[in-house]
Amino acid sequence: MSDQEKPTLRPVSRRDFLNVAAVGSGTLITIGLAGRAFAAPKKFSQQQAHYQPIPKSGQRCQACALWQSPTSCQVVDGQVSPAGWCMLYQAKG
Amino acid sequence: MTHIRIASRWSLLPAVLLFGTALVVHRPAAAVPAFAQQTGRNCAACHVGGYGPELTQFGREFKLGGYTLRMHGSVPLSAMAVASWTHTRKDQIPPPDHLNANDNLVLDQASLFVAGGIGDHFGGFAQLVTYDGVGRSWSWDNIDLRAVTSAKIFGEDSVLGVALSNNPTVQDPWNTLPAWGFPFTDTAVSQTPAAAELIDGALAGAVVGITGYGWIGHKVYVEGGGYTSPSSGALKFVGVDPTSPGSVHGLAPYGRIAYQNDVAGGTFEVGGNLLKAAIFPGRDRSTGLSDRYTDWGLDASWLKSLGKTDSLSADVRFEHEHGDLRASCALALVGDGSDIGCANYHLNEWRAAVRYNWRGKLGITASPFSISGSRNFNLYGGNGRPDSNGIMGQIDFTPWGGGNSPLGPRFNTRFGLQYTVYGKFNGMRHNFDLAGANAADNNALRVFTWIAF
Repeated sequence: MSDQEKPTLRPVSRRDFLNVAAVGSGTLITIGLAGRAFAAPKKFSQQQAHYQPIPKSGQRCQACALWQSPTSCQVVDGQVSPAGWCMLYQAKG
Repeated sequence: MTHIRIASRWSLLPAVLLFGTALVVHRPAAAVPAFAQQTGRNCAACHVGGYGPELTQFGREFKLGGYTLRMHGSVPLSAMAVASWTHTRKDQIPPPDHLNANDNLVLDQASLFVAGGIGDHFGGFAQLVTYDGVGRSWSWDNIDLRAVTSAKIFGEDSVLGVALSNNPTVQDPWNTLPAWGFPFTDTAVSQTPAAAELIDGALAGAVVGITGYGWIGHKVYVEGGGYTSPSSGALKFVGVDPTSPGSVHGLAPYGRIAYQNDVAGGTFEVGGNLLKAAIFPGRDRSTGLSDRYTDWGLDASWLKSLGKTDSLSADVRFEHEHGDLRASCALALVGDGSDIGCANYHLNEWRAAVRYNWRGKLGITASPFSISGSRNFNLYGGNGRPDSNGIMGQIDFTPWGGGNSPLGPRFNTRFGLQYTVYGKFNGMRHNFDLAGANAADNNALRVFTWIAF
């Protein structure tokens, strides 16, 4: 099928590149600065994290890298059961 | 004597301006720091080895949850660039367009992303604009927009969603299927086998589709929907060749099922996929016939954490394709036009990748691959067989996957070295082109740098 007719696409000009680079640079610098302002730490709600007070597939909060004994989590708000589970589960290894 | 040559004198300029320094994909790839800012988690929380696109269990949940999980306000923009130097065992004759016969240093890809969630029900990942430094062209790239809600199904906490995407398998949360499978970055500089299946990326960017899915009990995944072709004008506007591969007749149905559970202390997944498509080649409907493709596949993956920062992952995929290119035959795009059955074929493809990540920084991967199928002299040169096989090895270093970059937590980079060895290439081990070329002549060493912000 190599003899199919190819469409004519506009070639990229040096001006295109410079425009994209200039706009992109400014945007990304802004993002970087804005990121610092947004960085106030807080936790996910249990609903957001799909938390359940029972294990899933053998996975339980007590075996998670984010677990904080006796009943809390580094990233999920509220009281957390050691036998619970949520979507942020990360095995300790 | 060979010379290293930059793709063009100014083609690396954006990377230089954007990132200050650049040793900066033909193959789509993604690592999106905007999501790290949104979730308050570093790249390693969602990505194995601290860099995209291989997803951890949480990364899969975040994706299937419609990218809506949010801890902080965020600016939903990211950028990425990949540059590489490639050496093939023998010079390429003729050399690739604009490039040398060997030892080419190129900007493979630079992309701008919009990525984030809106409220509790909408989110997306849009690789909005990509510059292909080898093809020297702009186009849109992977798009995955979602609407989701939580539900109880069979008493289990579940997620129901709808995904709008422009590349079948880009919406998949496992790294077994083509869009996000290993190798996560490669280049268009070196030669690759001629035979590939439709699902391997032929439709990427050339279709749009909607699929509905259920993530039932966070264990069972069921997805179904279809893809169709945008208008020729719309595809030209987004920088995609509307004639390749052509226009889909009606809808191309796509389905996917998978099951995920803990096995041997790791997260195990097994699944299957199906894609059927009838395509008017080159958008030519004059014969009333269409090319028919049926792809079905099986896949499995396993990911295990070892210690605090090490991990072992394994992915394997088998895909079968049956093709009947009756329209291409009638149009004499394949064969001489006298037999509409001139390209009735099948292909079988295997791919696997075993990867170890040490301390979340150093990764080593071995990835064997094989494609084989029926002999057809209308489709393939040489001995008429599509067979190719080999193995790719990769060593990569990701110094700041833990969000500890000196340029801030949004900046991440990976340095890597790939080596591809071919056992067979386009049908044979030796003299595959009947002009003296051997499969091993295409063995390639690639050194790459991949930056995301």
